[in-house]
Amino acid sequence: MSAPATRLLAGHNRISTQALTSVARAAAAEALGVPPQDVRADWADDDGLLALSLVTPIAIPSLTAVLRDPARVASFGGPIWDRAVAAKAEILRRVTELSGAQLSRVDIRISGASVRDGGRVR
Amino acid sequence: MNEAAERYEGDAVPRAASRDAVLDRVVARETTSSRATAAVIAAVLVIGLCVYALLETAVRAVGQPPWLIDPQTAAERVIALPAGFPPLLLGVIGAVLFAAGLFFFLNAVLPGRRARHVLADPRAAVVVDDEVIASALARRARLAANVTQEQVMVVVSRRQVLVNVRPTSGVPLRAADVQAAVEAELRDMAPSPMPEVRVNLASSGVIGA
Repeated sequence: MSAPATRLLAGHNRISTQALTSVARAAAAEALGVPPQDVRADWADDDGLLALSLVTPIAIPSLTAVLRDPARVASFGGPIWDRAVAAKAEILRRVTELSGAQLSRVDIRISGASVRDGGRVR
Repeated sequence: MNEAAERYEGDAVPRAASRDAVLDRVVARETTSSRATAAVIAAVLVIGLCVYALLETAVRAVGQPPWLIDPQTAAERVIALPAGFPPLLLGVIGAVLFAAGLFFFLNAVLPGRRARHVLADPRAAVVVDDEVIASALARRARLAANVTQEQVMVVVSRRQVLVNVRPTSGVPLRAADVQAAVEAELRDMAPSPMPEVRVNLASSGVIGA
């Protein structure tokens, strides 16, 4: 099996740390509704798998808007904690799908809130 | 074919046999280190000692005063040995003699193999440094594991090939795949003696490689 198979597969593809970081930032930005340049992503090795740690702000509706219409919280995806927990799975799935590398964990640290008044209308 | 050669050229077989013997000799010389240096040192030491003994004996026979020490006195001093010398000097001399003796003894007894393997070849004697085999195997292991050059280290010794692979984070490796590839390469190469392959996967990976 090995001789022809390896001849076909000869050569080595690598995905640089920088590329992985960009992918992670984009995925996190998408999941939390913030611009990618506000997200900081760091990689670590977790027993042969990748561990991602993110420091990112999160998009929230302004408090006056919530006061006027309590349903805005739900339209943003619920409380910040729930959204962060949901984002972990989403980011893990996205990055694994895009980079082909297996992630073992995603740590998210919410560093701030960015107020989005326009809001998403659902 | 051998039979034909025997029939038509009477001296073909003896010539081939002597050629094999020459090849074996060449291979032996290439795969083991020479003892010539140690032998020359030992010979020079013995010759020097004998020449000095001859000199002293001759000087005494002629009736001249001894050059360094009279043989008779020397023998008496040796017999009365623990006395007449400071113990520290005796200890140092003993240690030096022991070290020299160990050096010559080990040189004589140990096989003195070089880090080389013999490759089978019908026409010539092929002797390959272990580093060369290691580099070939490292390349094959690298391809099998799909990692960069820095993530593979191969150590070849006489009876064992040790393949250390550090995987890329997020891309799990199977040691069996690497082992199979390296073993296939070794089988193609057929070094003698045939080493056995051991693959070590590092538990932590390299990020972004």
